[in-house]
Amino acid sequence: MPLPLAQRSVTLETAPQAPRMWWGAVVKDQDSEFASLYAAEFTPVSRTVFLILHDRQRAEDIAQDAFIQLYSHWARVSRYERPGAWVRRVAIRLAVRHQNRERIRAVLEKNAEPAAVPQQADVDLLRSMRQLPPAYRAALVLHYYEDWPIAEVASVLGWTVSATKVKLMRARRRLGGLLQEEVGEDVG
Amino acid sequence: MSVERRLREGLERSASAVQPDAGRRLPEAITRGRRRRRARRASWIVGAVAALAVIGVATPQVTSYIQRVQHPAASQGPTLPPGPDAVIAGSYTTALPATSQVIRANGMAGAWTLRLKANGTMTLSAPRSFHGDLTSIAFRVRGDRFTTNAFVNDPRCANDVGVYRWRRTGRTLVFTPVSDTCALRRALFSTKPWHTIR
Repeated sequence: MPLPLAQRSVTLETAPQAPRMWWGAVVKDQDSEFASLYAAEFTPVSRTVFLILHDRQRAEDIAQDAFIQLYSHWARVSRYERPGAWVRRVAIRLAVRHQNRERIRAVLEKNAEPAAVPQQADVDLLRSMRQLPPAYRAALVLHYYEDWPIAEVASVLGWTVSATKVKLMRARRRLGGLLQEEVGEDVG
Repeated sequence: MSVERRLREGLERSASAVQPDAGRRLPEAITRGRRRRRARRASWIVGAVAALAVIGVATPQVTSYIQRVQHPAASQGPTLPPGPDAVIAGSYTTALPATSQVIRANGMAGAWTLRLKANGTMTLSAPRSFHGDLTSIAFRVRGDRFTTNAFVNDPRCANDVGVYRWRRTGRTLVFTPVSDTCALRRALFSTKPWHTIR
């Protein structure tokens, strides 16, 4: 027996919307998971990048770029145990790459004017760190600010563990000389 | 103070000066992230389409190359498209008498064997007195028309094909010339009927 006209029209109207609603829910879930991670990690990642670049605005932009990459890979990375570590790694690599480019540009343009650092910052420490290559700076930040173990620092920067230890030691000695502070021997 | 302690305290203090407005920047991250994801997917699709196109173009050429390597006789010289050639497929023989000038002059008198294969390729076995190139030959059957490029590599024949009308009665196969400028081919196919060997 054929369906009454009214009932047929309901069937026709609701059927195509079901998959869209289901997909919309998935996207919404994904976005809300991403938003939670963003809220928790954007500030710490920006701070870590700032300690490498010493430029607040640039640090936020690079952290943002890292999160944009995270979003575009979110379907895969969200299944990782620590998606936050993934975005940090991306941000640090972007920061080191950016700083290397900037150093070259500063030499070429003879314009090494650093960005203004916030007043509450340890200006002497940051100024001394600027004397170090960007990757050394990143190693110091990851180990002494993020408290990452040597092996993880080595992994992000593409160094061996022993090379990382040696470079951290050299960086601390250089800073010790610039800041006239004593240098300990233990690393890791 | 040690450098290590200075690093820990100084970095912590310096970092705390950075207070980004994450709430303001989140929508931009999602919008640009979506755009980036779409661009990445589009590049995958373009790559996949390009790969399929390459496969589509390369496959017939590779297949053709393999066929040329495996069946050189069928693929050299003027090529003939495959057709319903199985209708005439088989092995045939004929004995050419030294009656005509063409047969005598070219040493064609004697027993010839013709093998027509269902895939359109053919082989010819000539009497010992015939010296000519019988490689790379093929045929095609369309209705009662039999087209062949036999002797195509022989300098005595032009690089073209001959067309014959064919008729088989019992074990006898007869070719009647329709058009053929090659005298050798015309003499071979139409002087005497061919008889089925098997």
